[in-house]
Amino acid sequence: MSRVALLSEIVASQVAAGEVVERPASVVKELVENSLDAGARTIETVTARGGIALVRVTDDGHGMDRDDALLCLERHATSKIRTGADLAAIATLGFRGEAMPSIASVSRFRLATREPGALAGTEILVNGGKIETVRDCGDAPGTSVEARALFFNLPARRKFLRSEATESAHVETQLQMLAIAHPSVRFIYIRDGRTVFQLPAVTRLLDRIRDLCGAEAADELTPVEDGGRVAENDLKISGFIGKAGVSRGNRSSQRIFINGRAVDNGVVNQALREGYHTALMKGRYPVAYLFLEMDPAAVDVNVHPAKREVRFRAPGSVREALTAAVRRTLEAGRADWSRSFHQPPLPEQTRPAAMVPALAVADRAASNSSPAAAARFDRADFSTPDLALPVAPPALGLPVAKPPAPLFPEEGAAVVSTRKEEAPAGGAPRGAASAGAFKILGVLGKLYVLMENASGLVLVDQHAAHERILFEELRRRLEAQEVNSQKLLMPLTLQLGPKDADWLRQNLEPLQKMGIGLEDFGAGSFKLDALPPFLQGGEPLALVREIIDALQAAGSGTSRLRLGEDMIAKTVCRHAVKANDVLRERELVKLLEDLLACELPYCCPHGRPTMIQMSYGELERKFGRRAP
Amino acid sequence: MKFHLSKEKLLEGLQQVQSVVSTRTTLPILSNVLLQTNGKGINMTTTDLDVGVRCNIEAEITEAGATTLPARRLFNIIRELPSSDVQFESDAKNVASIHSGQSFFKILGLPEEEFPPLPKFEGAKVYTLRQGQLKDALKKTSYAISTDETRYVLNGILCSFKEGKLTLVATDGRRLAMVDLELEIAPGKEASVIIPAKAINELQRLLKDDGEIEIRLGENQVAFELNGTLLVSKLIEGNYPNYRQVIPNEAKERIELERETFLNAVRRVSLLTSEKSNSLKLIFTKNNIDIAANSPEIGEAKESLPVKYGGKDFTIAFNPEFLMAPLRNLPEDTVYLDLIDEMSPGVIKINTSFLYVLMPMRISY
Ligand SMILES: Nc1ncnc2c1ncn2[C@@H]1O[C@H](COP(=O)(O)OP(=O)(O)O)[C@@H](O)[C@H]1O
Ligand SMILES: [Mg+2]
Ligand SMILES: [Zn+2]
Repeated sequence: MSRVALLSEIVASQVAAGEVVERPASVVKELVENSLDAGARTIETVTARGGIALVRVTDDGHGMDRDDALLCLERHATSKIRTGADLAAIATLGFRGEAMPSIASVSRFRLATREPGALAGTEILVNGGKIETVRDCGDAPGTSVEARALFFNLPARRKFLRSEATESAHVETQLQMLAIAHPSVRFIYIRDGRTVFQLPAVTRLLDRIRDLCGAEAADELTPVEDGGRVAENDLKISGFIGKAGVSRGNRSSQRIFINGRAVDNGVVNQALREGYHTALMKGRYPVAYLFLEMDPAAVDVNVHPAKREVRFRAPGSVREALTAAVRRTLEAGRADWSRSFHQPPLPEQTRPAAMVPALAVADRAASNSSPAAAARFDRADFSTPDLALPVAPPALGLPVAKPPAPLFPEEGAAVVSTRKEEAPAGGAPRGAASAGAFKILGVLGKLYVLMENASGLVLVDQHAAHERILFEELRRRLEAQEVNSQKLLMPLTLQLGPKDADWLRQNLEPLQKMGIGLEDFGAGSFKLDALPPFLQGGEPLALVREIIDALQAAGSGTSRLRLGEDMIAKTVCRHAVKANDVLRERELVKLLEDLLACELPYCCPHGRPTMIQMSYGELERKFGRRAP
Repeated sequence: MKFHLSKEKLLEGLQQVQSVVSTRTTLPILSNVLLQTNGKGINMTTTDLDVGVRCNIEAEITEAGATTLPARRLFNIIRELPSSDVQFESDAKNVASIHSGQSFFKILGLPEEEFPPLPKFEGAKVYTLRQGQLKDALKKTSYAISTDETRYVLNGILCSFKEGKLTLVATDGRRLAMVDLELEIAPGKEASVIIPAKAINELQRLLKDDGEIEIRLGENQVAFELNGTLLVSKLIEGNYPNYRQVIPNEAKERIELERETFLNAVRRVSLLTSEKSNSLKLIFTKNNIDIAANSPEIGEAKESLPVKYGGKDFTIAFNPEFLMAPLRNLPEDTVYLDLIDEMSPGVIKINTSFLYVLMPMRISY
């Protein structure tokens, strides 16, 4: 190789490095991905000073022979694709053959590798892209790649690195994502001589998340319900999402993987958010560890060498499948959620009795016997839901007996018993889980209903709860009703890009049903001549654009009243009981029953939680009985 | 500054200007009324920077000067004064003293210089109208002004001075109200401006049945002078939509209606429209209209109204609020409803110049 050619090779690698190697975290990513591609069972990452001084990734994968070891340092040398056709069906993580030479060109680089059966391994030392030494070595089978003094020869790029702490945080995030994507691989991370984590190989993703994020974070998750494969692009969705009501202030707990590759994709983010819909407050983000598996040909990963960006061939069906999966998952989680409303099925002695003799007992049976007996009775009911209760349901309108509060609280607080809810006429099992009794302790600040359950204290926001009940009620009623549409005095012309226009043409009818009058004028223009009466505010064209965005995200099968939900939420907010409205016990019981019968009981229509659980663990930590 | 006057006079003046002051402002001076002595009495001025009002009241001046005082507070104090005689005095530090009967108030004001001046008009186009005429025209149109702030050009009344008339138009994009007033317009005095709703409101409070009003148009401002009071307002900048194109040329059916009877029937029936999907049906059959509404979750209502109608049977739906608004604001006993078919705009007319176009609702599914 002539000197000039060699130099220009180095320069080309450095240019490529600008794209591939942005910071120590990208070095870590490329090296660990290579280890994964090499079938490693254990991957150890060592960094020093934020990875700027040192990144070393060591694996027990299949290693390389000397020829391959030398070859892999040449640009576009990859064992992973040979032809353009391969590029269309990328299943491995790396595919550009750029990472090794790029990293080698901007660091003091060492590659040591040995195939399992080989007598000796190969060690190659590279300095800023120049190969300096090639020799035998006696390292263990596998590969160890080391990059020291990143960007030592490119001061301009080195200047762009942030503080060691920031770079370190990026490295850790990167490793977390890789670890989550590959639970069956053992991951070790040593930073500045200290072990940050050592994650055993596990078979279940949830165990990996628990090892990585802690038990509490893992408890907030629920496995995503895959609705079966979507025929079109053979999409499979798995992983975990936050239970309803679980959210974060940013996207940092949103880990999305497509075919094992961590991605940041607008379609996915939008679909996720849409799946939660009113279960998520504005400005909050869902928690998700989601894995999408699909035909590699259905997703384009070659958008950016850092490979966080992907493009779907059929974004619509991905979006729909994902939204549906999230919805299904949240619905499936309701049984657990409902259970938390009910009194503890534990013997009274094992838990401290409620301090206040709470509320009077609503039903005859309870008021005729001692509260403790009533409590026992209701627990029996809880465990045998089929037992018919000799209890007057609150709906009968009997006068509520309010026995005087006992002077000394007896063991076991009063229990408000409720009749098991009948299945609604449609036969849907909604509300079935609400069988049993609520143990209402009282109402705090004329707003929060305090209840006891097996895990501790439950607080229900009476306004939020009532809002949710009224919201669903009103939406159901309006859905049964004709949707009108107000004609506009002056029809407006809507000009759309080809993609949106296409979508719109296919959705004119559902939009019509929502009360939006649109007519196709061809060449991407549409005439808007009617809007549903509740859409009054706002510039109509901007409104329709918003609607198109919202509906594209919502997918087909959206409620006709989707567009009216803001209005419905506003209306019910006015009619719902407020803070300071004193609810009598019978009203409280009805509120809880109705809430449990809701489709999406966890949040008010604005996404604020209706219920908060304070576990004994949390209380114990607060009281210093247990280490935080 | 020192003057003395009757409580009633002072109250009358404050009443004219106080509604302009900002209720929420970061500029305290905008909550104040400017009081200035002139030869015969005092000027009172308020402004929110968009709209300003100035009126004159008679007073016995003993010492000329000016100050500003919190308008609402002053108004509340004057209203409660025990005696009809009010002595007013303010010092160089803008501390005002008010004596009336046995009461005494001391109020802290702000210096006159802080008060934003009302714009001066030079080379303005001037028009003169009878107050009663304009008052009537505003009543017939102003309810149709859009309150949707994102469509700011519709947040006012279009006043077009052209072809021997002043045309007033208000619309919110679903209905439109229009009145023509005959007015002599000198050559070169044609103009078309949008006057914001707030100024229209103030104007409606100030207009009396008798007397004249002078309208002066500046570059981007308008001034109204009436009964010794001056109202100044910024104009809304932007292009008003071409309203002519929404007025149907001809009607297929004209139904003569007794306004009160029709309004009352519509009001009764609309009690059974839910607030969301407001719609009310007019079902036309030979010599009869059935006014009907139903909301599955509430119930239904129907009222029959005998009318002269010989056209074909048909049904048209309207937002009841849009239907009632003009009926409430017209004084005439008889109105005409012009219709073409169930999807075309309906028009309400009276025997004088007035026109109200309202779009029907499509009832589907
Ligand atoms: N840890 C490793 N174990 C085995 N082979 C490796 C390892 N790292 C890199 N290689 C080899 O080097 C080649 C080039 O790697 P790289 O530059 O990252 O490109 P790519 O991963 O896109 O193929 C890979 O195709 C692979 O054959
Ligand atoms: Mg690679
Ligand atoms: Zn809410």
